[in-house]
Amino acid sequence: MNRITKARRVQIRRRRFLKLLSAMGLGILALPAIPARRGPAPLSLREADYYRPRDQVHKPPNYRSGSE
Amino acid sequence: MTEVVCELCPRECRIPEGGAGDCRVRVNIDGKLRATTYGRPSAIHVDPMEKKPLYHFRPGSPVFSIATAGCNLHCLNCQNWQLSQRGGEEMEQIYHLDPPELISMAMAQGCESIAYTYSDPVVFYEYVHDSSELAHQSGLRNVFITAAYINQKPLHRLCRLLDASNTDLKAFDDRFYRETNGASLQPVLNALVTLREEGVWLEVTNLLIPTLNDDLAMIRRMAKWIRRELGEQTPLHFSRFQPQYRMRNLPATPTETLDRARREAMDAGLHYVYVGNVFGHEGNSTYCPTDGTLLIQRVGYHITEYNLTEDGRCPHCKQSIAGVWQ
Repeated sequence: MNRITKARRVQIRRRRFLKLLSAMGLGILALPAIPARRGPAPLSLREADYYRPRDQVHKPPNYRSGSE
Repeated sequence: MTEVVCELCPRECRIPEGGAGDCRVRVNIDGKLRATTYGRPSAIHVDPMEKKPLYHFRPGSPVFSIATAGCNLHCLNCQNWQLSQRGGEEMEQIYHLDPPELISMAMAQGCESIAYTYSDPVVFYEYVHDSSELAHQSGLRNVFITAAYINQKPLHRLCRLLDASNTDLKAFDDRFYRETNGASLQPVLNALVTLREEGVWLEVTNLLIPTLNDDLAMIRRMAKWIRRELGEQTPLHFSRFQPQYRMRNLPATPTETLDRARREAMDAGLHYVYVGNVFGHEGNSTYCPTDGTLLIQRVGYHITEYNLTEDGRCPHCKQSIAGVWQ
């Protein structure tokens, strides 16, 4: 019974190939074979509270912001 | 091109399309302001309540603590600058944790509170608000660790969901706020009063930086203001500065300075004045303001002795000690 899975066989072959390339000083050719690092989760697009379009900014007489 | 004005904090940034506010995380995309770190914390830890520091609120209980990138202050001595002085897209580590998942994770960790902390939670306001609402529905409490540089309207709305806050009062001097924090004093004082009026359990932290805000006369004025506006029962923490970020030119605060500040504040009438960031200092512990009995002894973040009665009183004189003990 063969205990090595197909994915593992592919991985072993790929590593051998990469080792061969680096031994030949051709490591740069191996770059496309290296999977990209997973980036961070995309940022949220949740709409913020407490903002107004610039042209609608008007403060009523009783407006009290923290800066006043 | 629709420019928007963010009205969350006193900066009231005008943000052009494609731009971000001063906090770096509130971004104008196609004329709508987006809270880009909503559900995207970059720091998650389970801390003891004493680390916040909150000494009169559920002592010793574990608190699920989160923060996202960004801050609306730019303190030269920031201790979390890798987190606070970056936008969300600059963080290497971002978790995807919407409010329901956050609550589930906090409960799975055996926490009874959630702390919005490390950077300033004002800049992830919507995330705090929605999570706090769910937290209350699930029987968890909400703790807001902040510099309170926030406008009154959003603060009032949030207060009904907050159970406790440790709020930084960085100095009792507007010039210090402008030069060291890139902010101003009055909005912070307004916010402190609002937190008190709205019934949020409030403790105040003042980080003492040698030569910049350690003047005893100023400390006396600050303590008197706290007593008058927030009440003599408000715990005040004097915290030790360590040189870091853009303020490496100053030494750590000498213990004697912290001792003098503590004495000054107690002489001004405050009942509970603490010293923080000094391991094993007597000012880490809580004493009865009437007879001086040691009520809670702390070493670092650990409680080594607890003598309060179940209903939060001194075991000797039965004086009621202000706080949320149950």
